[in-house]
Amino acid sequence: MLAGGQSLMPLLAFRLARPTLLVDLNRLGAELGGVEAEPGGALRIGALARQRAVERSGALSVLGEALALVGHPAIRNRGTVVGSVCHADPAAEVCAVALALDGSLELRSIRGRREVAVDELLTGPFSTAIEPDELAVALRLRPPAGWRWRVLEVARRAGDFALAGVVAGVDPAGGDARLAVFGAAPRPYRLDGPPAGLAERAAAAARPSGDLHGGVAYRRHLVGVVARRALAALGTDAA
Amino acid sequence: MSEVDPSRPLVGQPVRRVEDARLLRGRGRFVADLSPIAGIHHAAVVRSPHAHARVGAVDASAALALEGVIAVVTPDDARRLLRPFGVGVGGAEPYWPLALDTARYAGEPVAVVVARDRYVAEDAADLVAVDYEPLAPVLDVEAGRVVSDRSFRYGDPDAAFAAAAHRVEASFRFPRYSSTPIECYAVVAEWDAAAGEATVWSNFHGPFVMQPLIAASLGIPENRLRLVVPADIGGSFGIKSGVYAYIPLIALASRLAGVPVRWTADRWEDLVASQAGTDRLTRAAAAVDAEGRILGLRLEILDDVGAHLRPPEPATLYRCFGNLVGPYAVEHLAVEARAVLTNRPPTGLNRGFGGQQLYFTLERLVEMVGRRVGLDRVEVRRRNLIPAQHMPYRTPTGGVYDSGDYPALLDTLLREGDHTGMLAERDRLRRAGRLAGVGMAMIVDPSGTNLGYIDLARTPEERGRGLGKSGCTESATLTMDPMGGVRLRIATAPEGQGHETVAAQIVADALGVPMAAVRVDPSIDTASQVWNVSSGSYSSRFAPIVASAIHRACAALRERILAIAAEILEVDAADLELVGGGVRARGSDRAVPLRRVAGVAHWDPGALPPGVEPLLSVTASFSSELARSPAGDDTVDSSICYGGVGGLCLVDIDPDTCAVTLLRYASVHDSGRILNPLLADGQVAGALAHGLGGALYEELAYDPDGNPLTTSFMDYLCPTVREMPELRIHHLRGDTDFVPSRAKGIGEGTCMAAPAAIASAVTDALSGHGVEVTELPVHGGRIWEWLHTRERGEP
Repeated sequence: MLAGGQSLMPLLAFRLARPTLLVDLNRLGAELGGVEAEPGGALRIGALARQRAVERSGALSVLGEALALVGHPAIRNRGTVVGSVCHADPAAEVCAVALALDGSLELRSIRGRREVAVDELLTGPFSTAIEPDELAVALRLRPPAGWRWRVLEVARRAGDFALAGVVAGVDPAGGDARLAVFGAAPRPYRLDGPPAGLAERAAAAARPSGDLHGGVAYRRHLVGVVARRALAALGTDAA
Repeated sequence: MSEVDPSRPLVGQPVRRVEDARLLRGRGRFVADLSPIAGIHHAAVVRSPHAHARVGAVDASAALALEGVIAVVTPDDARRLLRPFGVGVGGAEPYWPLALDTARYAGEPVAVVVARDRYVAEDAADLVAVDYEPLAPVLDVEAGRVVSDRSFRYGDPDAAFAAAAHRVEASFRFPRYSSTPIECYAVVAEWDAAAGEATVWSNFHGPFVMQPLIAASLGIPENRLRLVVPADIGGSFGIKSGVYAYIPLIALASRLAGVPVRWTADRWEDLVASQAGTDRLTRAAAAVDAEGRILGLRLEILDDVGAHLRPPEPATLYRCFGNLVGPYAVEHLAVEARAVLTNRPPTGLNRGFGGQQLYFTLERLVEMVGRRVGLDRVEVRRRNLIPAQHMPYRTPTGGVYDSGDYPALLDTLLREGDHTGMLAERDRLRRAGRLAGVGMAMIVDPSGTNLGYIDLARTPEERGRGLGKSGCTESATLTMDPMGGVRLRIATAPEGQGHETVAAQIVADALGVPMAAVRVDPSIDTASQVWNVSSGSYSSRFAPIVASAIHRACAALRERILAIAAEILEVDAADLELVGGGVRARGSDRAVPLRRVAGVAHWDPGALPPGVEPLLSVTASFSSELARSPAGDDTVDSSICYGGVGGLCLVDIDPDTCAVTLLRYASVHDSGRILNPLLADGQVAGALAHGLGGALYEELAYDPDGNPLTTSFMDYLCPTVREMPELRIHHLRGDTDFVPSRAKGIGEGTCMAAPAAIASAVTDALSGHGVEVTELPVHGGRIWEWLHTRERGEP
């Protein structure tokens, strides 16, 4: 399935993916390009909604904050929000936002329609529960009412995949918090609970792999740093 | 931006680039845009997946069976029809452009497929079955085979070390990295079987000393190899000089396929198998007196040149030999210079060639000297700088520094770079809990290479037996058409530097014509223009060498024009001047337009004064008499000019993430006269980006099996505009009388200084943790490891 092509085209160029059939969705913009607020506070993002358009729409500030960290504007002009979820890069900001906001992916096939929670959808690095005959048509996000959010990451350069990152939220009373950590495990993971000690739990849960940009211990350390900072920025007493 | 005043000489003014109109509109014409001949087919290179392997049978039958494939070049073909490149020094085996029986780096060419298009060629490349027997790779420079090994002594280093109050020593590692030009290697080759000739269109930009090497590899005389280079090359910074090694291979593909063949490298190929700057391990020691003066240096240099000693290597060892002491009055040196083979891709020219590696060591060492004797980074340098009254200064290694006032350069750096402000900002950041540091570097920027330095790889005895090597020659051909328009041909193959603009400024000034009347063609065609083995674009040679050749050509044409005008105006030629598109008698209104003067030569040569040639076309050359082959005592003046460059910078390190940010950088230059300040400042900014890359981001990395880890821009991190700091540039009012252009190179100095300056700042930032930066690049992960290794009490 070709939407924005920001992950698939490099895979094709490197001959890592050699599909026998390639379906280009790009003429379905009218059907799949929309972003709508739904009754009950959910946001439905169509499969062809470009990251840059969603970012600039102001539809959801935490998503905009996360999208601003995705690559560079030229990438976001083409890349789609739904495509990022389907690609399931462990370091993808969008997957972590979807996890934090109880997101689900709407899938269609000739067999029918189903909706899969992002937590069940993401099965590992670059792998999802999407069946070969299914088309992702939209992502539905369910931001809890009144929560405030902050997205923080550490990357070697602006726009790089994060060495560690976090989507952090806190409820209006400040007693309940939520973290979705990305770039630190085979898939993003989520922790819920009172702010105190949450960052430490996040670091302990990290399962990063090391590479030339940072070793395992450093990356785990970074999870704690970004989680603490994000919670502190939200005014919680995370320390 | 200041405006251009057309009533003043254009040289020295911020004239906008004439190249930009086409480049910014996407109208540049690069090799991939050219279809110079009909029937071009496309090549894909089959590359070794192993860093070291015996290459057995190569079975191309499945590839040849694919529809659209017309030929596959195998090692047997290369053995039969090519010859290895000549290697300048004794210890290395011949370098073939294709692995014959052993692949020595991951990515080394093993076969070439030719097909009707690139898609088919790549599919077929996958079908070439190669029988590999993997061998253990050598990746540690200290375990690699030494293929060039020389010892040098200048002055009396033993006595200097015996007399020293302090001996300061350390080892330094400079990383292997590239410049990743936007346009990768590109070659179109046509083998003319009837004539036994090859014509090659490529983005090879010199030095054209490689032309005879390519011809020899193809087994044809040099006058049967025509190299064509378009006026537009999409960046190189030295890296594309290595495309020459692919030219015989693609020409052979054309020969076997019977059609012209195009190969355009992709980014993966560029990162795994083009060319890299040489990584260097230096064990350095300084002999220092009680006052902090450096009496002598010992340098043991190990250059990892990769899998082959690919010409011009081991040149990285020697490019800076004349300026080995930098800006410092060090008189005694002992140098061991070794080139070592490992199972990594071959190295070669990269912006700052040899200077980055040298000054990282020298500048780190100087600061360690300062700390040992209790002098700050400014004072220890001030105490060792060569005084201005010693210019021109002959270094112990034979360099002749043409001009400069290094103490004044240091003062200017501190003032214009706002040293006080940087220190205040550093202290403010530190009070806010950050790890911040200020760093500096002072370097001598060599420009206009004397190719003779490469001969230092041979001993004086070896040199004595054969032909000497020297030279920096460049030529320029200037032609005036019947209407007075001017065409300049130079053999520089620029890669985006703006040679067309600056050359036109020089010609316009010299002939008194508007820039629009001057057409500059810097493209190359070795079959139809004047060139020589030094030609091309490298070693910051445009300003000192090429511009001087243009001056000479202008003077020669001017003389001919004045001789004709003198006849027309009946005024002595000595009393004439070229101004306003014509020739005028000084102090009078007697004048004649250039088109009339030109018209006489073109249309009415019978009216020419006696002795004046009926041709308004001249070729003139410039070659400095300073360019000599190395002397018997191994001294050599390795460059014609030497500029002075100072760098000052401020870095911020996050105490928790250890992420490093370069906040401010000041670059101060004495580069002689500035030909075009707009272009000069662009060069400085670009050189800073390159230096910043090597300091904090860029590294060609390999796993323990020798497989490349940085195979795309996802892992090979070039700094972007978001990583660039606030930059201040300042030029001293410089001059040099060593070259007619009075200008020195400017495109490399900042990239030589910046890695050292940034390392100095990071060391300052981490001073409370006892960390001394002796290797690059430094980034958060590495700093965190350093700090935490120390906290745990590990070595």
